[in-house]
Amino acid sequence: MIKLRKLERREIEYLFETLYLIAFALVLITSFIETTTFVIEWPYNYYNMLRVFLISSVFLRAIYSEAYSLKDSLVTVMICITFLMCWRVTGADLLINALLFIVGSKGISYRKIMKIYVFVTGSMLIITMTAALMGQIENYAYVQNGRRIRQAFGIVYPTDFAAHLFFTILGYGYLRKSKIKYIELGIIVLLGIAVSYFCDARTSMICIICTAGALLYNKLRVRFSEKKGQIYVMNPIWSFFLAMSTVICAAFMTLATIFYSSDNRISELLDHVLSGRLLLGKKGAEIFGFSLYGQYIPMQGNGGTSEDIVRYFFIDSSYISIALKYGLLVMATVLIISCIVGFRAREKKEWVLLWMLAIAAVQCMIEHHMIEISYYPFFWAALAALSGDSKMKLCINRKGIRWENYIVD
Amino acid sequence: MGKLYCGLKKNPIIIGIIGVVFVIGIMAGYQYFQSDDGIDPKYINEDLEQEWNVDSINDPILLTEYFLSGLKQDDLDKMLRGCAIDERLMNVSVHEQIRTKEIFYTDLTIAPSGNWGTYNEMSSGELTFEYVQSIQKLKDVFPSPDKIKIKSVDLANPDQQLQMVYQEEIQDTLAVWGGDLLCEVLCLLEYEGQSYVVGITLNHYGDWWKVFEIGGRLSQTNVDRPARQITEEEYEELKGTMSLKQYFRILKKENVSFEILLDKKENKKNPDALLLPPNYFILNPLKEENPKQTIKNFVLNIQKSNLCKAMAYCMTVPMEELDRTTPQILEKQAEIAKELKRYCYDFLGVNFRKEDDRALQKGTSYQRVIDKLNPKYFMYYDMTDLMLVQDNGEEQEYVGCFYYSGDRFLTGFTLENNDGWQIKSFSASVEKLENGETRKITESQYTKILEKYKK
Repeated sequence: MIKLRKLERREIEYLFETLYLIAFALVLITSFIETTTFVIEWPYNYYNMLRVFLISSVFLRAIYSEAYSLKDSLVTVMICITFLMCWRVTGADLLINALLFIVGSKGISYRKIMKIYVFVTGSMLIITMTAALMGQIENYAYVQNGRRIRQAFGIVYPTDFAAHLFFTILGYGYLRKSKIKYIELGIIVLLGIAVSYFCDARTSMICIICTAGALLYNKLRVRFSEKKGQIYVMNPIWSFFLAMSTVICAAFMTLATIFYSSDNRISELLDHVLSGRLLLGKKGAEIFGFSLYGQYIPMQGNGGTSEDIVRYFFIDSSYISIALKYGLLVMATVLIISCIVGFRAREKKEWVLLWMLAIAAVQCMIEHHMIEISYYPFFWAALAALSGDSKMKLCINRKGIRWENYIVD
Repeated sequence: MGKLYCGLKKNPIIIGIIGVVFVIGIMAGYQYFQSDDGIDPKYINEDLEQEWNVDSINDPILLTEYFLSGLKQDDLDKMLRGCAIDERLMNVSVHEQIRTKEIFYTDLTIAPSGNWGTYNEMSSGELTFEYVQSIQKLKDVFPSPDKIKIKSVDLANPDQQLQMVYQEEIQDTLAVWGGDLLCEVLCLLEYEGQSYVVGITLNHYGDWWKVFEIGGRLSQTNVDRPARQITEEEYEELKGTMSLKQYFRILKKENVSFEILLDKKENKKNPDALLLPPNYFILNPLKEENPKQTIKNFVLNIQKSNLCKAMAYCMTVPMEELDRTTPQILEKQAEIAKELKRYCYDFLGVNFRKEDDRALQKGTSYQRVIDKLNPKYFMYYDMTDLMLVQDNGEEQEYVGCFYYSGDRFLTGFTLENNDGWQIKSFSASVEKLENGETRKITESQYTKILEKYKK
């Protein structure tokens, strides 16, 4: 006879955590599919049901979770107020998803979240590529003057495909850390070269190769330290700059955009290197202006269609795009979250996470994926359990079910 | 300092927050300095400042008397306030206009302000001057308006106005300009011992009447000849026998849904003392210290769909002359509105001249023409180069290269220095660019122009 016993509080918490992670995975899959050329007739009210599921799992976790510290509470309240206010003003649903993901990750092992992210995005990339190459879905190919043919492999635009690959590699690099093998690094470099060859995505190629370089550097430093019987500690000044990388990149891009002038040679050269991003950012700032809670900005890019776009206006830089579309408050919140992640990683000696954050910050100067949940995976680390944090896990074996304390790796 | 350093070392995120404040501060600072400097592109002169004492007039006879009292007082502002400027520009259907005339050219009608409020000031500029011209023609008949005696104001042949044929004829006009009902009134005036009839066509909008046109078919007057001499007998014939109340009672029976409130005699307002709210505007002349900045701001305001401010950079009438509303000011504004309309229509691809005799191109629907005029496309109009081509000291000519919807365009700007640079016209004699012309050019032509003028 099966004996049912009353569940312990922490077992319920674990159950809700699992529910949340299932909701997380489903929303992530749905968001990913929206960046592909899959044409799916979702069931009626599918998006609403999915969001309700996600909201419910977040609330249930919040109700049953361990107490929020004052810091965590302040951060959560700040994120909720700014994102919700902006969502009401602009109607941008992706803010709600981002908010739920950040708040919902409270206390969950970031490593666990990253595993799900890498698994989902990696699998979806392979499925999408396969479907595109087999002709099951559109495989957009773009021919532009002076450039090779750029393929999108089932994603709406070649650079978006490259960005998916890049962020997945970042996640993978985070999971492997110093245990990454040289052959894996070699494969990462090859992927970078492939992205450049097939998609002509220069930014992602450079960032992927830099990722391989950062992982290699970290691996070598850890190994050398271990040989000396020491634990590798990154130079504090350098780790400080890596933690501040998002803010530094945002400041650079903001200044370069605002002070852009076609009469200034340096400005023109920089704009040429950045493929016109400064000009378009400046145009957006002049015409629409920066607001507190955001506004509707009509953006027309080349993605998702094979037609020639004659009226092109797309702000690629994440920092300028977020500030214009979602407002200064959301921009400030996003940068503060990035700082929190950076300094938490520094405190917990998560050197790989710092590198990944910095490289992503540079990539976001050029591309617009910072606030898209199917791309950028670092905001969830703001409230999640990082390396060195203590967690409980449920162990089920012959002896029964019991809770064990473990240190997040 | 040591404590500060220790504090920061312990909580380095404070430095992060300072960095965030710095970034947001730059953006907020830029927005503060870049945003509208508070200068209103519209100027409230002495006439526009006058406070109105009645919101609207729902009695056609009273409105006509109001209009005529403005004529007697030689008060252009008062007369214009009685005209259907706002009502026409907000209700205009360019689609219907093209459909009824089966032709489209730029000067056929005002801009599609009935579809998009962006064009309001442009349309208002043109419409206001149309009324000014009609009023001027009326004043030409009565050079000393203070000598006018208003003897009678009546409906023009109500029997005929109620006929189906007449009502059907006015439907096209209503379809184009909006409104519920067109009504012709007659005004018997005595001037220097002679009797004159002035025909006025009124339109009913919502709860009020406004002057639609000076002139009326039933009075055998029109816009070009708004008044004619008449005998009292002829006037009686034109007037008909039906009273105003009877006329509206019959209309109501025909299910006309609006209410016409006719003032009872004892409550009848004195038209000489009435003043309606203002419904036109005067541009505030905007200038920049640098001519290139004037042009850049002009283009930026077009991109922002702020056509009123763009027009203000072209208002070369000195500030001192703007204190009272005069026909010269309104003529200048109409000129600016027309030039800007041609300028915008050109790059939007729908600038046709009447002499081109361009009926709608084969395969082009009316709606497609109007869709091309959607101001949401203004933001894609980019200035790529601006070059000085002639410098005559206080007057300079520039050519600007623009890019829109895959095509390159060339436009001229002539600027004059009136204690600050303003746009005198959209032309450049050096490149034979006519007023308001936006010329499409090829890539090779563009390259040649750059080689010629860019230093």
